[in-house]
Amino acid sequence: MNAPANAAPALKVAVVGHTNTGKTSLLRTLTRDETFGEVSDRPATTRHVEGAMLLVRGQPAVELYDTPGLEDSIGLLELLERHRAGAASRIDGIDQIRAFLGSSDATGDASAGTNGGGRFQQEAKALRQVLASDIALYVIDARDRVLGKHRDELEILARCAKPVVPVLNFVASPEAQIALWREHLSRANLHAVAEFDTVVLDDQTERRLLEKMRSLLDHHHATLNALIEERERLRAGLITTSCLMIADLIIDVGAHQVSVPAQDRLQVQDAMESLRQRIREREQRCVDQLLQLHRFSRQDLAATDLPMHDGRWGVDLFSPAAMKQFGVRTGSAAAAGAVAGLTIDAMVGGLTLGAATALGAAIGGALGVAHTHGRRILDRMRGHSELAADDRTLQLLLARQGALLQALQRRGHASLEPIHINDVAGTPQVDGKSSTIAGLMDDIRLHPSWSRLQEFGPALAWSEAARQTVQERLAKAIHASLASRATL
Amino acid sequence: MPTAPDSQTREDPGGRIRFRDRLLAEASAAWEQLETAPVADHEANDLARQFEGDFEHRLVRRAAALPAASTLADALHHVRSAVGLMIIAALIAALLGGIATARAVLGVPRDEPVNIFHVLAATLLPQLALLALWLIVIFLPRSSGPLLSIASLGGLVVRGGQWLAQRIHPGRAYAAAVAGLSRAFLRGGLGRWTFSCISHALWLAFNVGCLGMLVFLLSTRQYTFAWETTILSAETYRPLTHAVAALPKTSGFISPSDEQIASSRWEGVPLQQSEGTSQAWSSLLVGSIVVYGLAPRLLLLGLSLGQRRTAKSRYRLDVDRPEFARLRGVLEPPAAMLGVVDADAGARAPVSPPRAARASGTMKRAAGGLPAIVGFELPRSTDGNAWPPAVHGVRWHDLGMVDTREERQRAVAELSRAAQEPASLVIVCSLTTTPDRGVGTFLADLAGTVAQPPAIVLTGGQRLRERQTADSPESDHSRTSSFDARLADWRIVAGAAGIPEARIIDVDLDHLTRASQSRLAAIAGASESVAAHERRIEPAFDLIARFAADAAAGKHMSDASALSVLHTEIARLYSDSAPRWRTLLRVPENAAALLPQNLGERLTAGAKRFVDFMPDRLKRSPKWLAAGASAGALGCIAAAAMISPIAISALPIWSGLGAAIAAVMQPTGTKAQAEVNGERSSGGIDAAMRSAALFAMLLEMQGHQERTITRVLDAVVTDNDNAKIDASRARLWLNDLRHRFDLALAKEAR
Repeated sequence: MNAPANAAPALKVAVVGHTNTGKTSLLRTLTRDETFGEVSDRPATTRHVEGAMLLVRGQPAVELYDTPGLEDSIGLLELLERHRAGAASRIDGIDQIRAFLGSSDATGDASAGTNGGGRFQQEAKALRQVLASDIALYVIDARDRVLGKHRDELEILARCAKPVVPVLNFVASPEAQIALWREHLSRANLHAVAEFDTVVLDDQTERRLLEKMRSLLDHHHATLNALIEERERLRAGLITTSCLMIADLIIDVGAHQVSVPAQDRLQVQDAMESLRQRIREREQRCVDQLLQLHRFSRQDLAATDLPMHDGRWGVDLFSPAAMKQFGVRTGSAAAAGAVAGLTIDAMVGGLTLGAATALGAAIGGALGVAHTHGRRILDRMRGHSELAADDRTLQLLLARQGALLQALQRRGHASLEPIHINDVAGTPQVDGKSSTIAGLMDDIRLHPSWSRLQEFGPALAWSEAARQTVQERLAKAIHASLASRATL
Repeated sequence: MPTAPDSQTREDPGGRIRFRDRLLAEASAAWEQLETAPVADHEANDLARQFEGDFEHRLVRRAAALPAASTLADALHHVRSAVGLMIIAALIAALLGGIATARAVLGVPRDEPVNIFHVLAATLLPQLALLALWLIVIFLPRSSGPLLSIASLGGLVVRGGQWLAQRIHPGRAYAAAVAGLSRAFLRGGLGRWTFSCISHALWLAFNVGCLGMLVFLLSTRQYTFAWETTILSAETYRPLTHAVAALPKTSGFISPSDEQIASSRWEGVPLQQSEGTSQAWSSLLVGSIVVYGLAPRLLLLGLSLGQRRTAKSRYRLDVDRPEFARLRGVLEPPAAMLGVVDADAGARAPVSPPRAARASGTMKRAAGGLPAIVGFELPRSTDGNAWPPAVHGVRWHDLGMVDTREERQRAVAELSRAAQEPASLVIVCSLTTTPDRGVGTFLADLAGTVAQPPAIVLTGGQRLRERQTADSPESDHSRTSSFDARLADWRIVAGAAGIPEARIIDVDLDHLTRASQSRLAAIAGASESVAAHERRIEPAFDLIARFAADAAAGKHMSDASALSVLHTEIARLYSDSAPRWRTLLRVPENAAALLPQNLGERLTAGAKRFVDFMPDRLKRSPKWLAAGASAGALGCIAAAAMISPIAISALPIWSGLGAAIAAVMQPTGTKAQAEVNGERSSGGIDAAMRSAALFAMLLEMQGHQERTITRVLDAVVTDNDNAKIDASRARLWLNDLRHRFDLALAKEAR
């Protein structure tokens, strides 16, 4: 990818820290890519320096470098001290580091004379990267005590003469000693401390980290500003688009109607089953789209006893268990012959028929409605009934997808375990019974041509504008409902 | 539809995007929405990502590279052609309509005058009314597109064309093409101006036809023109005529004068009209049609064409719509990989050789020192446990907590300087610390100061487990394996420092039990060690795990006799203390002899005895109640079998067991209900494992008071043990259970 000629050069950031503090996890979260590097609990998992670029509108803005963990900082500092003591002339600070990097302890090359034998190769790689970067992020496991080796690491970093932002990781853990760490860091004159928890992605912590970096780097002020804005924009866009997708699902399912000859039981059964199947598939498509939007793969959603498995909802949409799980109350009994999840009756159709006829006077919908209801009247006369998804199914769809969306928003990319959607029996995440949403759902039911589940007809294309308006309003209502329930 | 010339757009960074490319993108989006299976778009995505340009550019590139692109492009082309055909047909129809109208209005029989105002009305009023409607609608901002698609002739024509295309070619591609076109039309100005163009063109054709025919007829026949009225007066028509004639007059057409108007009133007799009058009226007629019909339509057509062109060039994809926005993460990724910058050379740098310091150069010191203990990078203990750990019969030489470089050096120095060789060196490390090279170096340094390899006590197991649970809440499997991995890493690092595996023990100092204390003492090499009762719970649980695995592999049916064999094997582990737990379970001495006779009674007694040990909470759970009952009953058999082997398979154990369980469960319901409950709760692998686990734990706790046993059982068995346990998770469940058992015992020990 070629950067345009007059763009500012990318900001180089080295991510260093004691081994196994979550450096690679931090990078995975920042790059929104879960395949970066290798994260595990074993020591020295990262053996080499690996880089990634953060892009703003396709152009590189920040280059991040993951470094091998600093394993023997006490030994390294001791070595540096010995060299300083034994040096012919007094060398300080960054020159010390450079001298070390040239020695055989660092390179493993015996020609430099000392008998180190490449003992500190790993540390050397990390330090070399720090010297080549503009700023270093020093990652700390906040659950650990402040130990001697941490002090020595900070001392070594201080000699590299680069601005350092300490990042406290695992701050959400009960063991975390944030206050102690901040005190200790301020004693080392590091006051801009960032906090992170790579398992729980809080939208503000990433922003604060970037802001702290910005405060230390005058030269790259504009770049970091652009990155912060871009991230904010993307985040807002994600939520909006997700709500639009869920609204799309609801419209497709809610508006869909199938006409069946009421007398023929077999045909009715077949029609019901195929309708259910189509609704299930449509829901699955929505789930896939949400996952793709948030850049997660299907394998991330796995369940033990929980609702999702391999990217599919494990509990069937039309089972009572599903409704119970999400707290959708089984409301007033449908007319005799109703099957879970679907309504079939002339009475329901009759009510909407009446209401729609009154509506038929509107210019915009006139042709569409007349066409639909003309057909309906004919169907009734022929003894057909209409099959559609009922309110509970729609509420359940809303609740499920809302829960998924919240889980996706919450999860950081670095956690090794798949997402688990908590059993929320009792409180649906999206209130399907709120008056706005209920009103919109009624509107949706009046326009069967809005559903894409049926064979595509020309009518859809031309009622697109009205459909889009309703879709946007529904998406806003969903967003409002989710935002009021929990932080998104 | 005529293709507009490609317009140069300065707002398209990275190059022009043609309208038809955008149209293809819209159609692709519609097509993907119709497809039920996910679309194979990887190549297209890659191609799009490589392109330098903004998001819209990439979307367009992607659409062009999709496998269905050519089909969709064809479909789009066909649909547009169909619409074009429809337009041409409509134009011809309009022309013919104009001709016919003119013919109709001037088709009066000979000698009858033409009602001039009827003609004007017939030819002009409809189109003027529609023109007024158009004027109203065109100024409505958003809905004018969709409204016009129905309410204007142009809209109807386009819809007709699309309908025709879909009738000829049913299928998704055409449906998607129509959808794409519609979306392009209905957003922004493109739609309404296109419909307007067509409408105006149609009326223009109509007017042309009408005018042409009129002129032809007026040229080739002689007409007289008249006006008549019943309710209005002559005074109305004169100004009316002048008003109508006002505009044509300015364009050069002549209009009748007052006398001519007055003379043209029809009064029932054939009219004699002068040539001048007729000509004036015809001029008025023609002029009106030109000025009120043709000219406006021509002007508006020009206007619409211009606006349409602008709208077309200004048309942009709405990238916030979900079908496009969902691709943003794919096409405009927030990050890109740079790859490995500084590759790892290969083998890790070795820890500094451990034995070098402990070469023969080390002078031999006199033995007899106290065991030395040193704590390395330990987390602060939350309960303020005493340091050094209190072990009965052991006095430590405390080297303190070691952390910084100075402290490390001090510890090493102190050990080297000690006059007497320590009985053993115990290094206490925390499992939460990652064992890395720095740790290894220090361990090697310490090991170099003593003659015997030191011992390592790994504490903090519970803390590590808590951390791992927080990181990965629900997956037992990975948690256990990462715990084991951490242990393994410590063993590796210690091994590199010369410390053998046998000298590494995992003892949680925050939760010391008597058993773990004795292990500590053993490691410390204390001369007097507590004759600790040896723990056998691990082998017992191993037996249970093996039982579950065998059952899963089908080697036995986990029925009552297999279960009693298991219980007997467990009992055999504790055979040396058999008298004690037999008393606990109140199994009489001559049980072996008595057993076959009143089997049912014995089993029931055993079951009830065991259930006495259980806490109330567990008694309320049918599963655990049944487990306790069966543990007690089978325990009896096991006890009897230890005294003298009895032919277990010969005994009707199953019914006895069932009766025993039912008897125990009776207080919870009717007899019949109890039996059903008993059966339901006592079948299967999980019931077997529960029963055996309870039995093993009871045997392990022999010597404790009954109340203690109850408390420990209460702490050990938690609510979510109701989960289904199968063979694969047997070991995990048992490990969890044992771990909680240790914790509970430790609490009791304090």
